[in-house]
Amino acid sequence: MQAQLQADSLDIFLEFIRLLRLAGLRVGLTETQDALKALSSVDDLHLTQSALKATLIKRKADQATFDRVFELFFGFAPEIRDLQLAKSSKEQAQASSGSFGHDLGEEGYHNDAPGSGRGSRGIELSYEQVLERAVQLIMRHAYVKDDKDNARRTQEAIALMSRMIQKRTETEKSLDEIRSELEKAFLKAIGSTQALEALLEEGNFENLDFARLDETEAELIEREIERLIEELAARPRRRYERHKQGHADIRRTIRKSIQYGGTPIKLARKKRRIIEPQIFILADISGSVEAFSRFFLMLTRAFHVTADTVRSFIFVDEVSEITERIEIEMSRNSRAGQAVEKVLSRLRLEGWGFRRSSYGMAFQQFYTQFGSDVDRHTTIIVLGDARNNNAPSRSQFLHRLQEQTERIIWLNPERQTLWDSGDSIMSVYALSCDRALECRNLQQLKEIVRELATSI
Amino acid sequence: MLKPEALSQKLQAQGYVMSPDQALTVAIALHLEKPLLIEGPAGVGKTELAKVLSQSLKAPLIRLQCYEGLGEEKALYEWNYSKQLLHIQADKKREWNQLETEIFSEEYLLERPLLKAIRNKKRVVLLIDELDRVDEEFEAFLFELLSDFQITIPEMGTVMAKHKPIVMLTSNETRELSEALRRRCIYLYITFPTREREKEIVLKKVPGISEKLAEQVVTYVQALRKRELKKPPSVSETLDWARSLQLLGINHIDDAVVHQTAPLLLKNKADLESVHQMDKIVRE
Repeated sequence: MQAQLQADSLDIFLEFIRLLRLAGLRVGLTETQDALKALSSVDDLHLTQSALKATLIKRKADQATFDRVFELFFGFAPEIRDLQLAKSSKEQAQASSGSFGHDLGEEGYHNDAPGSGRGSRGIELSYEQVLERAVQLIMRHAYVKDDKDNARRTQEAIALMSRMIQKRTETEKSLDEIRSELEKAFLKAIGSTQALEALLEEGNFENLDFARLDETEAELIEREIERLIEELAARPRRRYERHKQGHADIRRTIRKSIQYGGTPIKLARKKRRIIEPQIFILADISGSVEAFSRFFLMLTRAFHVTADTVRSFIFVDEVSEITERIEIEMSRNSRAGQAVEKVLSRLRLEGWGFRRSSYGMAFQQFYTQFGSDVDRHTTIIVLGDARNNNAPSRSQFLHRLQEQTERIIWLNPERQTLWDSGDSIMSVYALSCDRALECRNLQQLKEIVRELATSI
Repeated sequence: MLKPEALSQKLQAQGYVMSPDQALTVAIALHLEKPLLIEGPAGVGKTELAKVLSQSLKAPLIRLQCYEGLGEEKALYEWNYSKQLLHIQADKKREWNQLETEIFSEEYLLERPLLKAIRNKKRVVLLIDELDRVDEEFEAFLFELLSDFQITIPEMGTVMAKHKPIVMLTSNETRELSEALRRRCIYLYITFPTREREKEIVLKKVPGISEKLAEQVVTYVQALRKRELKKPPSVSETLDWARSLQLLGINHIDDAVVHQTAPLLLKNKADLESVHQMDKIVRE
């Protein structure tokens, strides 16, 4: 089968598979082989797309992503290959640097605006020319090669530019149309798969920032978390067996000997002290952190795999235990996401939404109210951005908790570079935590949760 | 490889209308001899596809309807206990070893759908219907069949398929099927047909219906599906409705007709009420 595909096209095919994976689809070896077999019997381009889709995609939700990658990749595969030889455009991109937002500023947009429909000399520009100028701007200001924020900035620039083009020109195209045209024009200009990679990686919902999700994305992530719950539930639980070894229990040995007329035939052993690990989840549910807390609270049941007691608390400026509420809703709703949403919407009704976070107050209250419940087998997981609204940190309470518990893990849904900026006092609290981790997308969440589920 | 257009025409001859993409997916599954996993809402013709395929390929259809609690003995095979007991009682003098080989032979084996599909002398279409109703353990149990087309019976050894059956699995998406199962299948998602295609289906399946009535029926049903209903009308319900309208000799749909015949389309009290109410508001 493979022999029928020329080596050249095989390369392109494999590159395509690689990009699919980059965009977050699970494409295995079996799928790849099936696709090759199917390809050898079709040649029309439209049929190729369907044939690849039929063999590579195994769930409905992935079909849209597939179409997107296919269109971007095969729409430009020839140009991409040709342009890789001509390096001029790349070097041009490399020569300029600087952040898009800062360099351009408000003023830059007005003067250099791609969407004004007029060039700087007041000449009318066609839609295509406007696109071209937009691409130039993006290349000059946002797309900086070998920069790790490249993808995000380029993506943001493209989104911004499309919005401007839509506003400033009299085009009737929808925002999505403009955006995809701009993406394509940009890829053509860059002429490398690198840019494509950047776009796909950003589009991969495993890397989406929790704080910036739209409804469908949130839904997808909830689905993924449900899958994670199933995965955890399938793990073997901790088992308690009466120990065959251990210290002899003299008192019980003598008691038992009574049935044999006072001869100690059976040796009784002391009961093994059972360690009961506990997990306490403390979730900030104010504003920007709410989405993340919602996702994490979905996992409460899954943690029962490793811990006997899982208790959940929410806080803004006060602490409230919601273990029971979550348990009730979880048993009523089959989907964990719905259950958590119900609990949170009730809390919003109770007025929690109008408060301002105060981590210090929350920790103090938690310490006085629940401090006696934590022991040295307890893990406390704090979910929050440590934005304390300039109130006193009262980190001594967190410190006391740390001394009493096995460990405190802080998961922060903000990018690590933003920690300690503004009113965030992450580093103050981090001193009293065993670990402080960035957890702002699905990929990180999965990694952390899998590790937690095995290590507690 | 069977050409998608040819397949599509063959199925159309049996009264099944499908899009070119769907035809291609089915053709690929047949070509690669892999199971076909069909997902989609209830009543879009998932089961029908298997039936029609079996007719047009002239392969007998063997169907395994899944339900909660379905186990190996109902899906795969079972020993005929009562017959085995009778045999042992009738033949008391025999040695146990000999007896054992006798009672665990073909004669005492009750074939269930999966084994039947594997051992059939002809190629068959095996339809495993509504797989989302069984638990994951049963799914895992199917793997041996789905990837190697073989089944292991402890007393008799491994049974290989004489002719690889055409396996089709359907799911109504009430439960997410496992990754491992998906990996073994070719995937086809069927959703409600477009207006044109649904009209084509109605014209095909309801002989003698006027073009105008078919148009009206489909327009109304498509509009219904856009509303938020608990159970949107499926294709089979569209057909039921069209047929009964034709039987009643109605050739124009108006409010009164809809009011009287709506229960054919909507099988849910809340849906019925909401639609009536909506219509009332529209009229006023």
